[in-house]
Amino acid sequence: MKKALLKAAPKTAPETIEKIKARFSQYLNEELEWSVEEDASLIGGFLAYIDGTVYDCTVATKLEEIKQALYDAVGRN
Amino acid sequence: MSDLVYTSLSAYLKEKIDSFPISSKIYDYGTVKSCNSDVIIIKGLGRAKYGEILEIENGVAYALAFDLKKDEVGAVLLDGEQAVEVGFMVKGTGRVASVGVGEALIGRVIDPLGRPLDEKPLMCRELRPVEAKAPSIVDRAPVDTPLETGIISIDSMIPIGRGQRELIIGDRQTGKTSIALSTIIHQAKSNSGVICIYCAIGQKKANVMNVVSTLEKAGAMNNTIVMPAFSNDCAALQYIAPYAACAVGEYFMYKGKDVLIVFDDLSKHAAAYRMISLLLRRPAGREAYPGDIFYLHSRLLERSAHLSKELGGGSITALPVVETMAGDISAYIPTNVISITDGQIYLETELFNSGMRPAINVGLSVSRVGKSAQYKAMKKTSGALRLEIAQYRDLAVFTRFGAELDSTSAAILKKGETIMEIIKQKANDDYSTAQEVILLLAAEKGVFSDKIGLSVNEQKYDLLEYFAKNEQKILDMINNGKDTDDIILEKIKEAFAGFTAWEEENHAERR
Repeated sequence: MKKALLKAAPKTAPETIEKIKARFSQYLNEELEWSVEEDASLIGGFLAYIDGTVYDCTVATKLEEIKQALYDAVGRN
Repeated sequence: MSDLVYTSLSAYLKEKIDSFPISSKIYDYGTVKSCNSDVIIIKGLGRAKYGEILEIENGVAYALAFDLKKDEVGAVLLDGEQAVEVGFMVKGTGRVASVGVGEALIGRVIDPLGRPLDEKPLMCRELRPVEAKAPSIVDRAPVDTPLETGIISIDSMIPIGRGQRELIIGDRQTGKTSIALSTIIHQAKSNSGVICIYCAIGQKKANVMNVVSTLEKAGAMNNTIVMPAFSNDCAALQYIAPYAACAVGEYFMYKGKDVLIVFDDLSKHAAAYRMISLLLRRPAGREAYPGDIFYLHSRLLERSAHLSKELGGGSITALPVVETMAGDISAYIPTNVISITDGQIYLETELFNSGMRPAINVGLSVSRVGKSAQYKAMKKTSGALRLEIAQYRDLAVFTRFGAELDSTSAAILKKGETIMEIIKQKANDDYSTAQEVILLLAAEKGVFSDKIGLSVNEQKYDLLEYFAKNEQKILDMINNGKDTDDIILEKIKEAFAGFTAWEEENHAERR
C-alpha cells in the first residue's frame, strides 16, 4: 500500500478528514496508508502528499497567489 | 470627489478578489536524501527541468536542479546551505533561474538573483531567464562602431568595437581590473551612452567595495550596474552570475542600446563550476575541469553581439578577464577563452615591474576586429605604430651591449623610446579621442625634443595642458567629428609650433 501524508488545518472536523481520505482513494483507484498531521500555518484547507505529488488545497497558498497577482499588477519588489 | 475614487478602488479590489479562481494546486515534491556542502541529492521530483529553481521546505533554501535522473535529482544550493536538513520537502517552482531587469537597475549593486545589495528597495517590471539563446547569424550586423577605452595603447593598436569580445589576460596584480574600470569610467566621462555592467565573480567583498567607490568618485555609477557574486557565496551563485549579467545586458541590447559587460574574472567562474561538477560526481578531465568547461564560456560569450538595424542596432561588448599562473597562456582555461574571444589584451608582469603601465605586451595582444572599429582620426594616426614598436623592440636589444648604431637605427630607437613614453598612462588618467590623436601626432612629428632637458613624460603632460588652455577648439573639433582633415592638421601643426615656443619659454622658469 502506498504511504500518504495528510496535513490539515487545526479544528478540521474528523468527518471531513475521512471524506478527504475516501475521495483520494476513489480518485487514485487504490488503498492508501494515511498519516494525519495538524499544521496551523495552513490557515485553512489541507495538503496531501501522495507518492511524489502534492495536492495543495490550502488557504495560505491561495493568499500567496493573490499577493503575487497584486505584485504583478503593480511591479515587482 | 475623493470619496468616489476610494469607493471605486476598494470595489475594484473586492471584485478582483471575489472573481479569483478557486482551484487546488497539484505539483511534484521530493525529499532531501543527502547534503554534501553545496550539493543536495533529492529523492523524487521526476519531472524537474534542467536549471529549474527548487524550493526547499517552503523557502528555507533554494537550489538549482542540475543532475536529472529517473528517481533522483542532484541540485546545487543557491543560499541557505546551513539550514538544509535531510528529510526536508522539496518543491519544484516550474521556473528556471531568472533575474529582474530594467532601467531601475542602473546605478545599483545587485546579486545574480536580482536582489539589491545596497540596502535600498528595488522594483523591476520584467524578468528575464538567466540562460538565453544567443542572437542568430541573421540577427547580427558586423562590428563597425568603436568602443573607446580612454587608454591610448588600446585605442590605437588594439581597438575594441561595440559587439566584440576582447579578453584581458595576465598574471595577478598586472592591472587587468584597472583596464576594465578605466574603460567603464571613460564611457561616463565621454558621454558615449554605453551602459556598463561590472560582474565580479568570486571576488573579496573589500575589492568590490573599492570598485564601487572608485566608480562613484568618478561619477560612473550613473550608467553602471555592479553584479557581484562574492567568494563566500554559494558556488551556484558564482556560476550563474555572468549569465545573469548577460540577461540584464540583453534587456538593454534589444532596446537598441549599447552595453559593456566586464566579467571579472572567468577563472574563478570556471573554478566554481568545477567545484559543482566534482561534488555532483561528474567525470573530471584536464586539470580536474569537467568536460563541458568550454561550453560554459562559449555560450556565455556568444551572447555578445552587434544586432542588425532591424532589431534596433544595439550591442553587448564583453571584456572577460582571465588570470594566468606564471604567465602561462597555454593552460586550459586561457586557451579556451582565447579561442572564443575576438582578440586579447596581454598584460605582463615584467613590463609592469619595469614601469611600463598599462603593462600591455603589444606584440602578443591583438584585436581581430581591428581597424573597422576605429574612428577615422585614430586610423590615420596609428597606422604604423605597431610596426615602429616592433622595430624598436628588435633594436633595443643592441643597446644593452653598448653597440654603435648607424643613424637610421638610432632614429628608429629614438622614435620607439618616445612612443613607449607616450603610451604609458597612469591608472586614473583618461584620454579623449582628441587627446590621444594629439599625442600620437606629436610623437610622429617629433615635437618632443630633448634639447629642453625635460623628460618626454613631463613634456607629454605639458602638451596636454597647453592644448586644454589654448587650443580647446581643436580638441572639440576632433572630439565631435572624430576625423582629422587637412584644415585641422594645419591648425594642429601651428599649435605644435606654439607649444614648442611656449615650452622653451617656460622651461627657463622651471629650471
